[in-house]
Amino acid sequence: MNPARVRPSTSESHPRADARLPRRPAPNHRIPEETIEAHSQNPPAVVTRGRDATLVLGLVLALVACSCAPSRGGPGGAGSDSARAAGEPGPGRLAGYEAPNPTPKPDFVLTDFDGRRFDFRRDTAGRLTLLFFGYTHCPDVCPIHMANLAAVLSHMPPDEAHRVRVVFVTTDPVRDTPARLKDWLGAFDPAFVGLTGTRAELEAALRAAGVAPTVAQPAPGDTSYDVGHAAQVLAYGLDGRLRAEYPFGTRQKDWAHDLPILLAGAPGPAVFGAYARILPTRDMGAGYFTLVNRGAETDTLLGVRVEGATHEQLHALQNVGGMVRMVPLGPVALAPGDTLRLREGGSHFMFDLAPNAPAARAESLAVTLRFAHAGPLQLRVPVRPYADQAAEAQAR
Amino acid sequence: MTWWCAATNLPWSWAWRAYPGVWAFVGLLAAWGARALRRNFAHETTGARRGSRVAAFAGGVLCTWMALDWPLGTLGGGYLLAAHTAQYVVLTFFAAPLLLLGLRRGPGDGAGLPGVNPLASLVIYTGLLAATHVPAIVDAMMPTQWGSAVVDLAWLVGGIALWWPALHPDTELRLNPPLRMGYLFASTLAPTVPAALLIFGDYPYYGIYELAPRAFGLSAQQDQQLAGLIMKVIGDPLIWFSTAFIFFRWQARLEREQREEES
Repeated sequence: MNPARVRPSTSESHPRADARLPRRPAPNHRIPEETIEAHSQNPPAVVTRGRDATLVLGLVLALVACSCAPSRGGPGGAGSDSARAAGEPGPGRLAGYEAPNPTPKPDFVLTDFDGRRFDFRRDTAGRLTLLFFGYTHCPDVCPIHMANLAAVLSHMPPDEAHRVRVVFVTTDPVRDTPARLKDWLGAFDPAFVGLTGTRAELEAALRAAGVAPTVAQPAPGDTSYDVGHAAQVLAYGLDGRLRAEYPFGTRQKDWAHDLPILLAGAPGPAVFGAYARILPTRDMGAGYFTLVNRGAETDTLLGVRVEGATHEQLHALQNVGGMVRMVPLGPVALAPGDTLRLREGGSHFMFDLAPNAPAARAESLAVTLRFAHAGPLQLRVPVRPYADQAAEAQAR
Repeated sequence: MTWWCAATNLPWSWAWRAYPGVWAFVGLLAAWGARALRRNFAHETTGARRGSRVAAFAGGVLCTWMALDWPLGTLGGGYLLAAHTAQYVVLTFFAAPLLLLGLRRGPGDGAGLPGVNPLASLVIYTGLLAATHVPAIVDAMMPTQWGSAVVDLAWLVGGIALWWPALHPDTELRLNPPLRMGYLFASTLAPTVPAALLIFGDYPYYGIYELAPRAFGLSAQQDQQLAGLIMKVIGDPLIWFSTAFIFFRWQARLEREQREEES
């Protein structure tokens, strides 16, 4: 990117979706109100970035083979990038930044490049929707995002590509006339949709999507000004909820990896920020996490299993006659987008440990969450010392 | 301060850019070559031979300069993989052999120079070029001027290693013609792998070029395919031409020797 321009990076101007996206009202569940929420406020414990070492490995093997053969010589030439070499994405894991809060699609209506009103939520329903705010005079980020998406879609089977809708909303309505939008996007892929509107409409769309406002201060008469804008593509799944964000730097192979996953449907429950504490007596502990149902259907957390424990139970705190009491928390149903938060001073899972159990001194615990639909979800939960509790609370 | 071509992420333009590091390197190379040529000329008997040596070395310096400086160096440093590959071709298949041809000494005058070991040459050449084509390394090095300089100079060193057994300054130490032809042919095999990967790969391998501001309307995929073609379509024919040249010269020499024997 041009460093001379004001263009907030994704990580700076768009921290995490949870900090900026609207909250849904808490659903009606039979568990304490503070325990289950529509959306988590916790950032994910791990931000997953996809890795692709296959091509690197292939290249290195090929070139090593060449190097070992005395009758050969020549340059290497292809493989994969190092940035992704540290780990292969697992099934279902996205190369993009997975959204901890599957917020619904923003609700806005703009005008497409054919002059028709385009209801974003209605006109993209049932399709994987990739939303990007940019401008056609952009020298780098916008054309590269669009070119990469077009290239990957051209490699996909037509029936799959047809289920993906790329929507480009201009941040420069003065220069991006409908005709220019159509020409410019058509050069990448005629199926891309370009939207424009009044400044007020565009600002409302940015706000609805939770994207940073644009920055443009052209001098009078200047027609070659730059526009600072957010650089990420927002991916909304088939269920109409935000699934992932793709900042500038997303490679074609990342899209090629993620689009089939996004088209395959929502991934179900996801856990963030899990940890546990074990009492100094080493016979009992409690665990905490934030659970988000990112699936398209309601799922139910049936129970928790801690390896090495003799007994586990989900607990909620209940105020009974002015006394806060710990009560068992039964199966917890989570509607799509719902968040279950287990936290210190609130709901948690408790477990008893056998005397001298190795788990009592382990640095992390193997925890399995059982779901009615998704089945078991295995976690490795770090154990935090009780001694740090006060400092952590203060830091919070 | 910019002293060597490296990725900047600035939109491409034809605005001239200065690279003092490139000039310094080329200047040092030229100065060193002039000194070496003067020393070698003590053994030359004819002015024509001296002229051809000077022309060859000057051509090698010129090719090095063209490959490293604006605009090819700029484009290859951060915009187009095709330009980056063109730099490799120019440095390896033009600059390196011309520099060696210019430094030719008389037969048996190879004192102080490394000998000929085709296997070692191939290992050095292949190893350097493999390392400088691994996407992880390219993506890490090309954004920095030092990294870009190392990649460029590695190609020049690799090219000299490649051509060393065939164009050793001491002509007596060069491989004999059949071995030289076999050696040069063998050197074309390995680049086939990366060239094929570049031409037929589904997606761009190098993030630095995939995410660079586009130049000349080439998509990242087209740029990569063009790079693969340059590697094979320009690099290989040069080797084949050299091999054919060696073959016909060898044949002519055999015929001449036969005629002399018969007479």
